Amino acid sequence: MIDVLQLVQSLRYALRDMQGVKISDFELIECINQAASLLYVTMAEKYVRYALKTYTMDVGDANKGVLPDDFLKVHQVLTDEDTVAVPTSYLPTTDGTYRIKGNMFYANNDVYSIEYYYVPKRVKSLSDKLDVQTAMSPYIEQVALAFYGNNLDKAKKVVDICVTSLSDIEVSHFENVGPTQVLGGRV
Amino acid sequence: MTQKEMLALVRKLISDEQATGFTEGGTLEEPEGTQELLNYLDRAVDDYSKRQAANADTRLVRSMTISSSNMYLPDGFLMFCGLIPAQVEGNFLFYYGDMVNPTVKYFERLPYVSSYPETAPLPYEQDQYMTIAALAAIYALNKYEFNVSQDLMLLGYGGQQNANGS
Repeated sequence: MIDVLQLVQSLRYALRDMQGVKISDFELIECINQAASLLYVTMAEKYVRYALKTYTMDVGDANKGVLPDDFLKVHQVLTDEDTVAVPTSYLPTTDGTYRIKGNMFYANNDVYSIEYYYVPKRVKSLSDKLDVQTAMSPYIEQVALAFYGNNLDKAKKVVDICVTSLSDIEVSHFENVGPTQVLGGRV
Repeated sequence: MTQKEMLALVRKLISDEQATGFTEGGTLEEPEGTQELLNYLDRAVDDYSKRQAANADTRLVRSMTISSSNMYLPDGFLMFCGLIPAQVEGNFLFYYGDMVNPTVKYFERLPYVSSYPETAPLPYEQDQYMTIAALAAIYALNKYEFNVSQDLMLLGYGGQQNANGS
């Protein structure tokens, strides 16, 4: 969670308007919302795990449940025995299968752990908190700055750079896997 | 400085200390003499405020809380600081943002010289007195078709800015 006030303060510093004479809070909050949406949608497209959340769903006797508001797309679904549930193209009738349609989750009478890519909820005021990890703050700031002035192309470029950078962090622990790789093969 | 002193300052600037050019008296219906100078002062206040607001002068910044989706704007409202999710029609405000009861900043015109009693101190700062009096004097001199371009230039109101009518 990041305080919106903190983000707005950083943006005001970057835009040289700490007193708030030229730019209103509404403008900056709008930029933060747009930045968070674009960044997290792109992160989901590129399977960046910083955009993952877990939701425990008890489908109960109805064999269905409503997905959370910030659901974007599913990463994987685990059963209560920690086995991977399989998506089906029909309404599931056996344990360990599921189907997602719109904002509904259908599965067979069980508790499921849904790992999904989320998009942070819209923030409305300075006292709100943006539902992202604290480490995301420099990325959100950079994208929000690009959005200030309504420059979508620039924002997309900044998002690409951010997502690449975030993916690097993620795969960095695979770096020491063995001898040097040349053209995809090991020497 | 009071309204009376302000008028004396303008008379000094236009070399009319004896009140022979702009005589004593005058009414709103017949704006001549002192009333005419007062009108020039008000016009100067208006113009000065608008220019300072456009230059983001923080001394004109005030804040207000939008407590309802329909409300009247405060007297002397010029413009908001930055963009606000609201429509302004005349002096009426329609707010459609999702922030509840937000406090917003706006630029406010300085109060008119004529709205204060003759001997009450006006709420301006020294540089504002000087600029407003100088502008009013320029309007008065302009009426008699003196060349005021150099005076405007000295106030930073001349040249290209003036040519654009801004």
